[in-house]
Amino acid sequence: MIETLPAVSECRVPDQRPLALVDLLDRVLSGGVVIAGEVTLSLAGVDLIRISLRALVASAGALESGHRRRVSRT
Amino acid sequence: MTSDGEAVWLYAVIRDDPAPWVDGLTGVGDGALWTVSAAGLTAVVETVALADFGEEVLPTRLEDMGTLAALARAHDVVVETAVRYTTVAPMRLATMYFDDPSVRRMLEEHRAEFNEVLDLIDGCAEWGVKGYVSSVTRQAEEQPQPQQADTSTRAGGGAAYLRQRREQLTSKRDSENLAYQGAESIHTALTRLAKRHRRHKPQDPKLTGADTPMVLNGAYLVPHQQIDEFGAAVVELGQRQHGVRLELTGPWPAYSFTGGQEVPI
Amino acid sequence: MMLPQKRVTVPERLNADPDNVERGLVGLVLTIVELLRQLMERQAIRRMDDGVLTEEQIEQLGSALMALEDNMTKLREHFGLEPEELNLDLGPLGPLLSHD
Repeated sequence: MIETLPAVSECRVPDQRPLALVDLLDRVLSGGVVIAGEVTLSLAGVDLIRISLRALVASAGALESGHRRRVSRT
Repeated sequence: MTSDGEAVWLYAVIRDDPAPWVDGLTGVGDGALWTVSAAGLTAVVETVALADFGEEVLPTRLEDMGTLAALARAHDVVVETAVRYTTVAPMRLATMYFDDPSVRRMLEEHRAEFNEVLDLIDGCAEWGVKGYVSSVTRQAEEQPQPQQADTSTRAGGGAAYLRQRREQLTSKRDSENLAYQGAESIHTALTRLAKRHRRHKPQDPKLTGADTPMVLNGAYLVPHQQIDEFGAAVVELGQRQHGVRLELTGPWPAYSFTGGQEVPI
Repeated sequence: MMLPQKRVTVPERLNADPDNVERGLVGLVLTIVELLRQLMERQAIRRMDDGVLTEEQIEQLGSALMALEDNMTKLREHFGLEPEELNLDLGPLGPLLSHD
């Protein structure tokens, strides 16, 4: 059965913006069907998220510093 | 069809379907996408190398923001493609099996759960509505910068300074309270237009760069034929005077409505 | 004639540069001072509202807090730190300093 979405697909937030990335990560890391896979990684649904959160926070810090970097003080 | 050193990455589960649109898609790895069927269900999968996706390797790779973003997008692109053709139960990122017989066993074992999810989300899409304390209100409450402060306040005006700070803090608190209340009434109104709803924790401002607090982070499962009504409601609710700025995102695959437990981010 | 551009390189890893280590430490100290400033400010306002302070005390507290805020701003600007950078992430407890 073919079912196509109505024209609202055009509303889809373009995925290049960092803001949309947070929305996406929230969904794929914390949403979706959770059934423990056999490769242990997905059992660690929680660990996966903690790892990813560290990456996000670390990179958020780097992003902020990047915007405000002082090139030279002297 | 997998060999040693390989595993099967699971993107999504759909109703039994040849899924010809799988051909030519790229995913999280270099392999081709294919399907595995059992119990009236079809799993959309990809064979991946354990050297890149194994349990010793992937967690470290995911600590790199670029890799995490790329994998998340690649996963989502496959799911979103599927959504254009059929009802899709998306899997959480990084769900993998050793081989396709394992996937078949999983489908058989969990067929009831998958059918329940597919029945729920059939004909619907997820829409996100985020609300923030309106920054128009917030501008009035900015901490005084010395160069902006009134000189009459500065000249020996300790008492005046303290009173001014009290006003600023009070009105900031008031506008936040107003916005939180506004978020409640917005959410209630939107739930009436959705088949199902879910409120998520507000997103960390360090991640989003938002300059005011997030007061609403809602996900709404909306039947396709009600999209226009839902969208119009979001616009109308955003224009009311309750100090909340709304953002609508979507349509998303129904990640928030698969019954997976919510792990706090 | 084009004068050669002076290339200024920005360190890839922020914590490798001794200047940035200093900045990091200063940031930490200023974060703590800012926390104290906010706490004292709220205390002062609460007491003012409770009516337990004389006008003279209100004036003194206000002047002291105003001077503290001025000094904080000068220090912050001297070290090139934005207000938003003065914060500590306490994980599940959220940030140390609120949006104030």
